[in-house]
Amino acid sequence: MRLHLETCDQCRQLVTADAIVIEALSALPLLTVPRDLTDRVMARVTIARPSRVPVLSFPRLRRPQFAWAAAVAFLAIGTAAWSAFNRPVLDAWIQSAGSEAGRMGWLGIKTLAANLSEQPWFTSLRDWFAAPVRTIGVVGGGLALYLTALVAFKKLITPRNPVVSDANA
Amino acid sequence: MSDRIDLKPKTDQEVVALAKQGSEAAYRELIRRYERPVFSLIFRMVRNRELAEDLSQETFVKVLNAVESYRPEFKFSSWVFKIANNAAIDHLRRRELDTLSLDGSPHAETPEMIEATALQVREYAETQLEEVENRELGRSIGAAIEKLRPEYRACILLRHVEGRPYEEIAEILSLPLGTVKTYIHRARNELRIALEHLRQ
Repeated sequence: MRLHLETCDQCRQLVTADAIVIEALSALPLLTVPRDLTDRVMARVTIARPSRVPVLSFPRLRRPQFAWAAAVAFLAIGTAAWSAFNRPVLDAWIQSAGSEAGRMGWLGIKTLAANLSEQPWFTSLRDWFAAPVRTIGVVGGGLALYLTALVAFKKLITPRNPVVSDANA
Repeated sequence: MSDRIDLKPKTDQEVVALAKQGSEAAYRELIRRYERPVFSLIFRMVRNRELAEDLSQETFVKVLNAVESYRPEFKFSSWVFKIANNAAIDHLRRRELDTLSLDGSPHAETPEMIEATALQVREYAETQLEEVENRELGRSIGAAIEKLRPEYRACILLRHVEGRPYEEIAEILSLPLGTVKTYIHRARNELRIALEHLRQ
């Protein structure tokens, strides 16, 4: 390029002219700023308030709270100690409670089903649902409704981003 | 607290961090650092002192009121210039501007008004001849810049007056790097043609 410039008048003139433009631009005078600009700006600016960072600390317990906490701790420790020394009794209780709960649950379901099937509207409802298209429609509609509600709920609980003009988006 | 700290040696990011903590001195320091380049850029874009003052004020109010949401991974200067440039471009798009001579508003009717509206430049120790030459060059280049498209104008001012690198200009103007280079090249061509008479 340097060799070309040495021989080409036209290009040399262009480069020189370009250099003059750049020099003229960089030599543009500095402008004075109005003296009261800072004060005018500060009058319209809201100084940021630092948000307090929550410090992880144990709450101070007052006397009644301390009594409750001690009682709960005593009960928990006592229960654990008793369980450790009476394991067979505890197992038998859990087993019988579990089977009793299962039996009661099943009985409840059977009672509910029997009650429903005895209702006067039950037959017509069963006939209406006998068509698979209707069943699919109702299930699909219910699902769509559920998803819509889910999306709406998500929107509701999502905090909105503050709008910042011209920030580095 | 931090208001007694000497903020001058601190980086922009550090000053912004102090501003976020509520230091008024940090706010003032940010204005001090950028008032001249922001005002110069806006003035050279809109060519009207009063308007440039208003737009500079708007720029700083916007910047400082949103300082809490500033993301430190970006250059603070880019953010400030972006807002300043947007303010100027928005204004230019809204209406066409009357030309304003460096010697004062064309609407000024009395010598006092001419003086009041004249562009104030920093005092230089110049000989009278240099002053005349500089005035002529400044006037010519000012007029030539004014004729550029606003996008070219912003690019050329940021590059050759503010000395910003191409990458930062691309970030400020939200333009691809290649477009910025093209705009600067075209702007220089146009300025070269406009200043042709000075070389002869």
